[in-house]
This record gives sequence, C-alpha cells and structure tokens, in this order.
Amino acid sequence: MDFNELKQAVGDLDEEVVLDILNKVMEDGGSEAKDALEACQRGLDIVGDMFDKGEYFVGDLIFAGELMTQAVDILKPALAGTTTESVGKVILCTVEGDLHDIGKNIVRSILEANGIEVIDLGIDTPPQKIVDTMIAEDIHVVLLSGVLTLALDSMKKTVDAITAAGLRETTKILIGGNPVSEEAMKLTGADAWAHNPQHTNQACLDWLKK
Amino acid sequence: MDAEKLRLEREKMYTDLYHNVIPERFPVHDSITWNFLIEYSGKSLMDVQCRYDTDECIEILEKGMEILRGDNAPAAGGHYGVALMLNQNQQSVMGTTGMIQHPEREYMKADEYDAFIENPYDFFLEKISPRLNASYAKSEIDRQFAFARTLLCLQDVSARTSKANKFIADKYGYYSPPPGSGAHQYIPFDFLADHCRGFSKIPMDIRRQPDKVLAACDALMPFCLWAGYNPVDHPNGSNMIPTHMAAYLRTKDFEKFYWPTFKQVVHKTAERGQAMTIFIENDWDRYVDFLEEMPMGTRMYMEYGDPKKFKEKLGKKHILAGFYPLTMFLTATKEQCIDKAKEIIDIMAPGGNFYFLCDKSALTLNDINVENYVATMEYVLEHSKNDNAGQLVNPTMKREDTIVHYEFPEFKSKYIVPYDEYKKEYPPVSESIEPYMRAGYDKYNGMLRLRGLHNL
Repeated sequence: MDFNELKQAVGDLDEEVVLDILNKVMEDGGSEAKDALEACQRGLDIVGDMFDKGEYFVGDLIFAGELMTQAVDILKPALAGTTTESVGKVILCTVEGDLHDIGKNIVRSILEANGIEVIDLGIDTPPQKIVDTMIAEDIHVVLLSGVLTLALDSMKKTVDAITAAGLRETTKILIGGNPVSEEAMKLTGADAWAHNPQHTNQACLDWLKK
Repeated sequence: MDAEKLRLEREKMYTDLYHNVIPERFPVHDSITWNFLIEYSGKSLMDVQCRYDTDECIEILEKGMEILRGDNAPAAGGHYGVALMLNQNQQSVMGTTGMIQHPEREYMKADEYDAFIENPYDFFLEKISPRLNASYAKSEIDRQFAFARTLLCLQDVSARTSKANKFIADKYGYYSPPPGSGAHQYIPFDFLADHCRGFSKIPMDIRRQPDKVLAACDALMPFCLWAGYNPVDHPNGSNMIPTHMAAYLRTKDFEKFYWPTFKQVVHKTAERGQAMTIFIENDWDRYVDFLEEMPMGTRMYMEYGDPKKFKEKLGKKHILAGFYPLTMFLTATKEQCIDKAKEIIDIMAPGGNFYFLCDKSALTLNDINVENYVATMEYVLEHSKNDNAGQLVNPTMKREDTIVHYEFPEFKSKYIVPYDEYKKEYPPVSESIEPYMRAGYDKYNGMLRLRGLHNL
C-alpha cells in the first residue's frame, strides 16, 4: 500500500482518493490500519503547513476535520484492540458567554485522529465546570476556544479559576480562536495560543507525552 | 454647539463624503455597541434586552454620551429576547451572559439542493423557516399565531426604541439619512451558508456538489434583490452588506462561488441609485482587486488587512474605513493607542473618501479600557480636518460609468403574488375601492418584506 499517496491525498484534501485507499486498507480486515492512520496524521501536517502559508483557510480546515473523522470511522474496527492507545486526555470547550463551536469542532476531529481523548464540554462553559471536570477526570491539559472578543475575558476568568483551585502548576492551558494572539495569551495567563489546529495538536502531544 | 447647527454640519459632511467631495473633516464613528452601552449604564444586559422600555433606553443612551464622541448616532435596538422566545428562534440564541449569538446549525440538508434551487424563497418558507423557528414547526395555526405574536412584538419594540433613538438624535444633533433609505442586503453565498447550510457544511458542498452550490447562488439572485428592497433609494442611505464566508475560502473558491453573485447584487442595487456599505470581515488583502470592480462610491469598512494596499488600490473609487484594532484599547497604553490612530489617519485620510471606524465594535465592558478609547477618539476628532475640502475626490470618474448592468429573472414566489393576480380570488365589490385595495395590498406586502423576512 502506498501510504505516501494517502498522506498526500489528505494534504490535498482529495476525499475520493483518501476514502478509496482507506477502503482498500480495510479489505483484509485492516492489518495496515495503524500505518494508514499515521499517514493520515502526516497528511494533516501538510494541511497545517498550507494553512500557515495562506494557501488553505478555515473552510479547508473544516473539510480536513470532516475527512479525518471519516478516516477514523473507517479504520476504527481494525484499530480497536491494537496498540493505538490513547495518548492522553484533554478538556476542550468554548468559554463562557461564547456560543461558537466551529473552531472547537475542527480541533476535536484533529486531536481524536491523533489518538488524544477529548472531553468536549461544549459551548458557553462556566469556569467551575472546567475545574470540576479537571478534578473528576484527572486532566492536566485544557483547551479554551472562543470567537468573540468577550471570550478573552472568559478565558482569563477560567485561568483564574484553575489557579484558585490550586491546579495551575500542574496544568497546561492553550487558547484558540479568532481573538487570540501573543498579547491575548499574556492577558489571559494561558501557556500557549494557536490559530492552526495542527499547532494545538502538537502542543497537546508534547504536553501529554511529558 | 447648538444641536440643529451640528446636525446640519454633519449632514453636509456626510453628503460631501457620499458625493465624491472632500468634506471639511472626515466623519468619526464610535465603535461601541448597544450591548456595551447597557453594561456601561450598570444595567443588566439580559433584562434590558427583554424590556426595551423607551425611558430606560434614553437613560442608557444618555449615560453612554459620557464616552461617545463620534458623528454616528448611538441607537437602542438589536435582538429582542421576547421576540426570540415567541418564535422559538434557533439561530439567534441568548448565552448565559445575555449576549445574543448565532450558534452553528444546519437548516437545510445536503440532499435538498434540487428543491431549493427550484425556488429558494418558497423552499425557505416551507422547509427552512420552521427549522429556524421551532414554533413554526407545529400546526398551521400554531405557526400563524407564533408569527403574528412575533411580528406584533417586533413592531411594538421598534416603536419604543425608535422614539428613544429619535430623542437622542435630536438632542445631540446627529444626522440621519432619509427614512426608508436603508435595508439589509443579502448576498447569495452567505445567505446559503449562514441561513441554510451552515458555515461548517458549505465547505463540504463546494467540494462534493459544486455545481449545485453555483446553481443555488444563481437561483438566489432574484430573491436577494427582492429582499434588499428599501422604499427610498438615496445616495445618503445605505444597504448594509455584512460579508461572512469570503475570507475563509481559498481564493479560487471565492472567485468561483462567492464573487460572481456578490458583484451582481451590488451592481444591480447600485443601478437603482442605492448606496451600500460592506463590512469586510477578516482579511481581504488577496481580494482587493476584486473589490476594485465594485461601483464607485461603495462604502467598505475593513476588519484586518493592509491599509496602504486598500488606500492605493481603492481610495480614489470607494469610501473606506476600519483597520483600527479595537483590542488595542484593552492591551496597549494610551500613547500607543493614539500613535496607531495617527498611523491609520496618515495612510487613509489624504485625498478624502475616508471615515474613521475601528475594525470591530466593543461588545462588552471588558473589551476596552474606556479611558484609552475616549482619549483616542478625541485625538482623532482633533485631527479630522481635511486639506483641500470642497474638491472632488475623483474628478474623472462618474459613478454611473462604473456600474455593470445585469439582467435577472423577476422574483417569483407562490406566496408573494401581484395584486392583479390576487384580486381574482377576492375581487373588490366596486371598481371605486379597487385603488384602495391595491394600495393596501402593496403596502402591507411591502411591510412584510421589510419587517417579516427574518421571522417567516
């Protein structure tokens, strides 16, 4: 099986070719499913690069997320019971006061395709709910999403609530979405920020593997 | 200054700006939302949006005058919580902080394009509207009652806010364009994305069924032109076009799916003498050459992008604003805020065709540091005087020469029929009352078009 072709097809967002290759991978029950998934993950790196270069835009990221969800669904029967264990758990949500979830959902698809278990708390999430979930699920990576400028204030309140709960030292926090920036990261007290979901994915992998 | 004198000055300033003339000074617009003003007054955002009491609106606007410095009139209004409750609106939803937003949802399924293309408006009424408004999805009688309640409610609240807004405009000498000279102008691709398929579904469609997306945009043209109707065409009025999806598409997708019908809507509306204001969401640097093709005098305010590039390419043809990053009022020092304003003015103001406005408006109290905001606005006002006032911005170009003429099929819907057809079903008992019947039919149909579109 030519997994370079699969990687490139994911990078090109060529749905027909991607699905065709994945269905072929599954013809023998999916003995190479793990390699196929890794090729898809490398394909996402290409998507991330294209986004950074200004050749892909949010619409393309949405499609990439959909493509990865389909890929994981096709490969899932063969991946169950193999060594593709969860890399770790993260909390993902849109912060309090903000009801937008497009960016959050793209990130969720990308993380899940990379073996990260995502506890998605949805939209308009109160800081206390995040803290309670961190404690209940023993989670140390928190991803906060928002589109409106008011989201920055909610992100700050969430970071403050995590600090007040005594969890800040052992937690990594990343903020994402339209209003985030280096300044916003400093303002909110987060550890990292991203517009590109591949950067979010990489940060999570780095933090979870430590 | 005397309010009426100030109003006349502002009228002259805007009239010059909109007629290719360099005004005495460029208009300066506040970037503060009604939501912000409610919070600034110390009142509950959630409660006020469900009350809209005239005196309370005046009180909030009066309090806001402490920090407002611009030439544009502040206005009470926006979404009304009670109306959203009555039609059980799914598209405009109140969050826990009281902010009304538009959660991402799919109102039309991927396999419904064929029926949509056949007649978008009829399909919208029959299938999409009950999905947008849950109370319309019950029985026929429930839908009639829910629509009537919502419409009556909106008429009521509109009368109350209009009274408050007029009071403030009169007291503080704000200029208002002629009544009826403004409307909301849909553009086909965004209508399809925002109100039908959803922001996160349209990227699938342009890859999986591109021909149907194109056909849907074409089919939407007569509807968008019909829905953008305003009773009075006036160069000082404006049809508002808030662009949405364009910046999130690849350039080749923009060129193929978004641009053609967007351009056609703008030119067709310009053809009847109406002006337009386009909010350019996100960064359109790569589309500047497309914007150059819009009719002369089109107003555009930009969120992000390179001000120099826009000024150089568009400054002699279009009226430009925006670019000032609102977040600076929160994250920067007063001096940095003022320096940024100077930078924008130095680029954008020379030669006219400019008014000052931030890239976005403050939604909540925490969006800005009020002291920075006021200091910057005062600086901008002090430096708003134009050189060469009274001269033409572009002496060689005429607006009518820049308008491209397109032909489109007439808007048709089985639910909106001309009176001549309607009266066959219910003829007047005497020819003497026929003109009254006709005028009444046309008047209320027109009001429905303006008022009821969102609630249908």
